[in-house]
Amino acid sequence: MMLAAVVLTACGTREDHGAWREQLFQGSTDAADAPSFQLDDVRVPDRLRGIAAAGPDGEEIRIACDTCHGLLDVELSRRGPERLQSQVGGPHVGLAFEHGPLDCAHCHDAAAPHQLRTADARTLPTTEAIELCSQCHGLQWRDFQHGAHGGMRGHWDRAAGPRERNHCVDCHDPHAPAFQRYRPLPPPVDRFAPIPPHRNGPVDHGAPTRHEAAPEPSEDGS
Amino acid sequence: MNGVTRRRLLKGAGATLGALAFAKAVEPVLDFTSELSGDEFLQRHYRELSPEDMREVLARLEAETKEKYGAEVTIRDIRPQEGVQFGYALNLSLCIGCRRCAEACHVENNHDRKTHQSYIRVLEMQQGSIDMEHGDATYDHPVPQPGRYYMPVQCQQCDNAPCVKVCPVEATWKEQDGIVVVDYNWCIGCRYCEAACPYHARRFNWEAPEISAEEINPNQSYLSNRIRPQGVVEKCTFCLHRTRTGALPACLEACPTGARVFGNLLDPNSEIRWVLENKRVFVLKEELGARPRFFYFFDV
Repeated sequence: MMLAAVVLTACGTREDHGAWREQLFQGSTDAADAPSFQLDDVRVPDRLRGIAAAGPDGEEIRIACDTCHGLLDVELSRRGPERLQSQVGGPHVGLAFEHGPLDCAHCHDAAAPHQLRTADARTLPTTEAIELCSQCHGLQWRDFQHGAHGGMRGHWDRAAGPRERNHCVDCHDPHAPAFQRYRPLPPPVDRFAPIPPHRNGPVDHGAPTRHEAAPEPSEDGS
Repeated sequence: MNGVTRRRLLKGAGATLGALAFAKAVEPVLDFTSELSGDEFLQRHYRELSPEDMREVLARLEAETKEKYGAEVTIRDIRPQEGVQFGYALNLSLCIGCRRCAEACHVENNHDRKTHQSYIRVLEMQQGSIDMEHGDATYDHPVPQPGRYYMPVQCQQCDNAPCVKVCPVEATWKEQDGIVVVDYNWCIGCRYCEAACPYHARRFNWEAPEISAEEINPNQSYLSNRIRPQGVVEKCTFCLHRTRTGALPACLEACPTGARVFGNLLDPNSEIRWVLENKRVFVLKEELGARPRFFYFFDV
């Protein structure tokens, strides 16, 4: 019960950081060229509000970072995530870490690891991670502001309706940001895309398969 | 002489045979028209329909969908907006070939479930080549593969569209906002357009689409995603039932990488304009002079 209360209070509201968002929008020269970009369109993913855990009835709940870090005085190691996983354990066990040569303290505030720290020593809540990412990934940030990275849903015409943008961490795990390979959805079955000969066999990476053994529907259709 | 000359006998036999042959020849037509309502048979070309005609046509099509597929749908006739010219761009550096765009198209546009049809074909391409004729649309292994890139191809909405030029009955044309459309009730199914399209973007309905009532997308329009009849050609319409009301196309919303950029080419602040002005952009098969509205670009 008490835990739930802590979770709720720790989530906080976005209004607290309104000033920061305004500053970010005005400070960027690119943003001036992209008046259709609105930072408020960017959704705040759940994973930035805490870690996932199983609730009393097995349902997934979010435990805000402050729940533990508000009580414990955790000093961040400069020696990378291995120590974190072996010594601290708990919720951070199994953390995949493949983000270049970075250490925890490159992104997390060493004195309060549940917060982020920019290169110019400002502290940010995790929900504002987008500014932290943009420090290094400037080209992606530029493209994102111009709608050419990250995807969107809603309206192309801002006068007709709202738009929702993905956050960086919707698609990229900040601790292992590379896209994982995965199985594509099945192909269509048509004249130019016949039933693939390799569907049940080994994958042939060699010659293209188009037009080969293509069932011509006109033969039996008419 | 009893009045029956050899000449009259032959004329009579010839006439009888001729009549029988004619009856046999037109038999398929009579069969065909029994399935075709008089209203449908007499329906005029889309661009000749008055607003009242159009209301009647839409009501009839909605009733037919209810009868044949058991689904309550709304079919609208959505016209182009003034001052809007649609353009689409796709970032080949981002696309991972997951085919979610093709799947979203399949669902949004009420495609035949059996053939798993879609207006988008994702080609797996050899790095270093942009020859789409050597792309593989049937790959079925984890993506992205090393040494490959992925190029989704759909209707390029050409300004100088070869498919429009070859249509013998003007059943396909380019709309004011740049979208090439088909009047499915005017199309005679000759498939000239399918052959003319250098992007293999048109599809032919060999059979009436099979789709269950609960899977039908009820938000339909006359020129785009209403369920097509058998024997007509269909194509991507940039989801005009969505985009002409200001919404984004279904394939763009489905893209997990944000590789797709859509917008109004006439708006200097639009995302599509930024891409065209700031990225390395090319069009497929530029040498054919079809002047596509669909652009590909790289990040570098």
